Amino acid sequence: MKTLSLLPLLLGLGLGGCDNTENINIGGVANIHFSGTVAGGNAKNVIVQAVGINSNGQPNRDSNGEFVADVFVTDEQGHFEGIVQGAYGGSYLLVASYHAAEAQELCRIDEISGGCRDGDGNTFVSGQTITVPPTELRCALADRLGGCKTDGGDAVSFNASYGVADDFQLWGVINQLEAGDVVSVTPLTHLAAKLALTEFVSDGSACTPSTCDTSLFLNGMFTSQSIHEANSRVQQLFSIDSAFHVQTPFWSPLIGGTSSDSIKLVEQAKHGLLTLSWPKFAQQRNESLKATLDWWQASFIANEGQLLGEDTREEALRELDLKSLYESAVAISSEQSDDNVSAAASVFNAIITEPLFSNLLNTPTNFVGSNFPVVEGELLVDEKIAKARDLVAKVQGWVADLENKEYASFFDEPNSTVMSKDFQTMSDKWAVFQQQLAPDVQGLFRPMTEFVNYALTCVRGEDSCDSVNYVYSDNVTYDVEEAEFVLSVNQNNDQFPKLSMKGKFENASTEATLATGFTFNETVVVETLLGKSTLLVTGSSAPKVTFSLASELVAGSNPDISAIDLLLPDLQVEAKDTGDEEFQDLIFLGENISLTMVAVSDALFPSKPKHFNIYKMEIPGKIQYGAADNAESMDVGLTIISKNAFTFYTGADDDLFPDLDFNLDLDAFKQYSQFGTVDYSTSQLGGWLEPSSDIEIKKTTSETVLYVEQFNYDSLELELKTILQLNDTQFSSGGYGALEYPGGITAWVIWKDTINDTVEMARQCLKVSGKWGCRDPQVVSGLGCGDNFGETVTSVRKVFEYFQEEGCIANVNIDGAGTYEIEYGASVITTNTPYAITFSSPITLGLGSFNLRIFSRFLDVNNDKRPVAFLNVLGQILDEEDITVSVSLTHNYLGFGSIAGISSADLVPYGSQTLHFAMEQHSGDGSDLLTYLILDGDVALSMVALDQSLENDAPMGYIRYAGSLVATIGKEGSLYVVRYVDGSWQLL
Amino acid sequence: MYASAQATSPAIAIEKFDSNWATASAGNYAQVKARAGLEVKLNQTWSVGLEQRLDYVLHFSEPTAQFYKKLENQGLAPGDYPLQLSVNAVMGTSFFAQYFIPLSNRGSFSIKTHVLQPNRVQDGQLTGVGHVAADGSSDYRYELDYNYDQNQLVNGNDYPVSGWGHSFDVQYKYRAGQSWSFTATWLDVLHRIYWSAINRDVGCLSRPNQADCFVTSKQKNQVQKLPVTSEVLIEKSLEAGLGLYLRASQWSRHDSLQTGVNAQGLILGVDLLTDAIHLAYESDMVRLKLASDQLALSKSKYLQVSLDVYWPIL
Repeated sequence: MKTLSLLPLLLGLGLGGCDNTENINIGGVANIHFSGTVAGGNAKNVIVQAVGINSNGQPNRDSNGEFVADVFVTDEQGHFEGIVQGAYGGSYLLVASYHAAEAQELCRIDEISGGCRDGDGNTFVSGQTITVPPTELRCALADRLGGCKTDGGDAVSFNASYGVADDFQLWGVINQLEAGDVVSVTPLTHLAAKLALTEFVSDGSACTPSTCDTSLFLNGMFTSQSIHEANSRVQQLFSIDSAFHVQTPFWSPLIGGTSSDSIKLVEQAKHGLLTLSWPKFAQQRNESLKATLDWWQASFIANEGQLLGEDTREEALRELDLKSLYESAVAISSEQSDDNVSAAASVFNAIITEPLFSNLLNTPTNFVGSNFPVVEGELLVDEKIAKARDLVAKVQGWVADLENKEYASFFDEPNSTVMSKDFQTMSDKWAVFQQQLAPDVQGLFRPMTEFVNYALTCVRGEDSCDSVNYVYSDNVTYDVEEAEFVLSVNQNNDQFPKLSMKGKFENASTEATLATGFTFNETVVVETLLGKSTLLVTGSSAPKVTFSLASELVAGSNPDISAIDLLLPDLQVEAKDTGDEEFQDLIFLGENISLTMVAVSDALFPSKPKHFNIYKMEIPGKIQYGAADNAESMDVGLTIISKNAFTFYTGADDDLFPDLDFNLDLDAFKQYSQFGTVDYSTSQLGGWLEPSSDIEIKKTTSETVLYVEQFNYDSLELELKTILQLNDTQFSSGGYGALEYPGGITAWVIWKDTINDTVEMARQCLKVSGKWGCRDPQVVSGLGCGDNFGETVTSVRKVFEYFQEEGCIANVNIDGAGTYEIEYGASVITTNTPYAITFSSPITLGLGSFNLRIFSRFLDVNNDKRPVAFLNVLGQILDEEDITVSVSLTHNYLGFGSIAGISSADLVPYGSQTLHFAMEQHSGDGSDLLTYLILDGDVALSMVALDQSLENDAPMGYIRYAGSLVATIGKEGSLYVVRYVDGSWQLL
Repeated sequence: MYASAQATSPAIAIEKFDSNWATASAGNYAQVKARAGLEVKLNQTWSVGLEQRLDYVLHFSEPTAQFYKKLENQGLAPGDYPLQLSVNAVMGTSFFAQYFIPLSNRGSFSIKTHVLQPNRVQDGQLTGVGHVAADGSSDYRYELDYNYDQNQLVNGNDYPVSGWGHSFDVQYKYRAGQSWSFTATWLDVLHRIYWSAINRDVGCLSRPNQADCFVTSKQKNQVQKLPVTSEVLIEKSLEAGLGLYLRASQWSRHDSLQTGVNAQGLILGVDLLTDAIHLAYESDMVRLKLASDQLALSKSKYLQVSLDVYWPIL
């Protein structure tokens, strides 16, 4: 059931293909090969990853927070060859990891795709480990400029190699990778990537370096717009004209240019001069490259993605400013004889020497990036955000209106009320129907089972009918020729109930089961003061009741029924009208209703009669008013499978059959949907989730548990021996030990397969409801409920002593009552010592699974179909603490709309508008979970809340427009806040 | 050394200010002022000191209080409720210097200049309308312009804010004859905070949400102005150490008119406007004051406590 609640979430994610760039070649789309260079002066052995950014705006990470992506290693020119899967169409975070020590990386690229390479060109294939030596940089700064410095402060000459002392990462971010792309990862791309991630923070923080680093938290978010805007802003800030820095190679004195186009060479020189300023600043500031990079980032982010034009404050407070950066670039260029480099430097020089630059004294720049380009017809980000706001406003209106039974806002087109009128009419008629019939549901169905039950007593033998316990025994006649039983009550007077039934028994036994079936061969009518139910008999189908018997029927003994199956192929239920008409306009039509009840004894009071629990119930049907082709209807399907049907015993002695009064207070779930708790105290649940009515009596009992042993194989019960299939010799080396308690036995049997074996075998056997069953054999040494027993040869006594010590058999489940703790006391377990039992928890009848499906089948004035509305409730309620429920409401449902069984096609509520809510609540260590999915045309709102997520910083939900992320939903303080990527917010 | 706090909240008891306002009555403001500091008198003319300051001025219309009460407690009459609320609060540290000028043998003038370093701020206003329907349901929409270090609307995180400010305390004293004296005091004149970086939310909020109603958050610079407190004190000395006084003060929406007696340093007075009882003791070394409009202090709507200790160390 839990996976079902996740399925709709998958719909809410962007449909742009797989998020994981590691998977190779999904669906035959070719992989994308690209290449690039990282900064640092021919930086060798830098580990590069192209990390996919998922539909939540997060780079893919594993559970340890590590990036998930293939690794590529740079060669001695700082160059790498990369590959990503072609099916992935999203954005990438390029991560270049510089490391001080040797690293072990796993190659995940198969040979067909080219495998992996290390910095020396050695190839590896998927599954092999690559040993990556420490990162090796080469100094690209002229000695006249002071060369470079190691992180430890030692001087490094031009073209000499050196390492790093602190591990750090350089980032770049790009919206799309295409085959043949050449990328760069430099401090400038790093600034752009950090800006793209930090500009929107889902908890509303205004990020400064001292307040947050969203690269660590999940509440920063990449979007296509933020990536494009950041890259384009950095492009403008640092004076590149043709492309983003991440797409522009960078010049270095250690390697040649990559183009013959002089304009491109100047652009590359601009990028390269600024990149070289990084080690220059590190050298001047006498700090590590990592520290300088952090200082660049802090200066940039603190000014919200700008730089001061010139910072004249004292050294200790000074930020990286544009003037000092450009002056550094100019100084570097002065040591080069390359015309393109000189041209690049002159651009920088012109900027900082123009008169208007003085306006930026201690003032940040004011560059604004461009918007992510959209295809024709696609909305801009602001327009998408407006649509998302529309949805947020709509959803509140929908929920409020639906609670007040106003259906127009969800189901009707603007300025129309046709659907809501149909719902209102149906709702009104159903309310009157329910009001009339609800007190009398049992009265319409119970007479049938009681009649058949009585008839069953008659077939035990001659004169064996149980007239004492059947109030209408005098109204039953038996047609000897036809072997038919006929019941006729109040047919010729004006009294109620009026009962008319006729049918006969047939042998329904199989090889495995003893059974007899009663088939009605005329229409069954049960009419009370409040309503009438009619079971039609047609040529091909008839109502039938099948009794599964634990033993042959014997005159004078109650039938030993183990199960009852009802099949009602064609049922009509009508409610009486209080007006002029005899019956109300509304009718319930059931098709192939099936109901299975199982019999349960009370183990503490075995003399009590067996009671019946609903084990399985399937009610496909239709609520309808009007006639024939004009009939307005709703298809209703209810499927229930109970938990503990074989062990729960209702208390009341005269209540053999289940109570069918069921009224679920939906407010209980509404509380949980608002992060409260589920409260059933205002619901009537037809016997489900309630302890038996005599539970108070069963809480105190004088019954005990007895430990017994048996070493004579022949003395074991025949049924047990049939299962064990041992002989005396095998058994003689071990034995039988058991805890006997009311209604059951828990036993262990120990033996050796052959007399010379050094290892003993053990097998657990249980006797429940009079029947034995055994689990698979295992070695004795493996026994235990935590640590293993360890002994290979032992006695049953020692095994039970071990279980007692470890608490492995600390309690027993007594059928019809509950779980009881065994009070062993301080002494070691001994035979034939009665151990008292104390009540721990009751057995309740749970809903192992349930599904309610309702489809509207309304017609317009021309008898054409209106859009189908679909309500689906699916879940399980094992007890009051273990609940999994999902509820969805869809307008204009596009699926098949089947009410028979649980159709997989109907699990996904796809339509024009959908409200979907799912919750899980568990006892013990399991986490509670709440899920929302709301669809309105192209806009989707999804939200997942765990217990923990209410306390941490991660967003709880996201809003997307046509797959584009436009907002997050999070809890701030006690309020739920929707934060849009343009910086605006609303309270939810 | 001195410490003083003054809180006035006619709408609801001070103790219940953070509650659901179920017991709110008529009133349109809540104001708190607190000072604690150390002043060192250097000579007859100059004194300097350091002070921790809190100023909190909350103004609202009565319908706003009633509507808030309804939001928390239900049971309001159907109709429209115009919403208006403004908050003006700052907390910080000041360094001050006071200059005392004797004007004659009867009069004197002093001016205290505060240079302020603020660290907490709430400054904003909302205007809008709330609506209660016949079935008891409610909705609202209001425009918001809100500056803060911590967003109290969503109980958000603290953000650093930076700025500086100034204010001036001016006092004029005049003694007429042997028994009459007159003092006029203006506190927090030109009380301004110049924020260089403050968080600002501008927009609107509504319930239920409306597509065109949302808030935008930015960081901006802003000038915050706080109100002046004006006070006039007239004292009449009688024989045997007794005296009478009349004090009128005005602090934003709070007005006060006190009268009382002074018996050799022990002062008992009553505020004719707030019904508060003032009890004080003054000596050369200590000045202690307690004022409340309720005997049970937890139910006070006006509460003032101050303690000054004069310690001759120089």
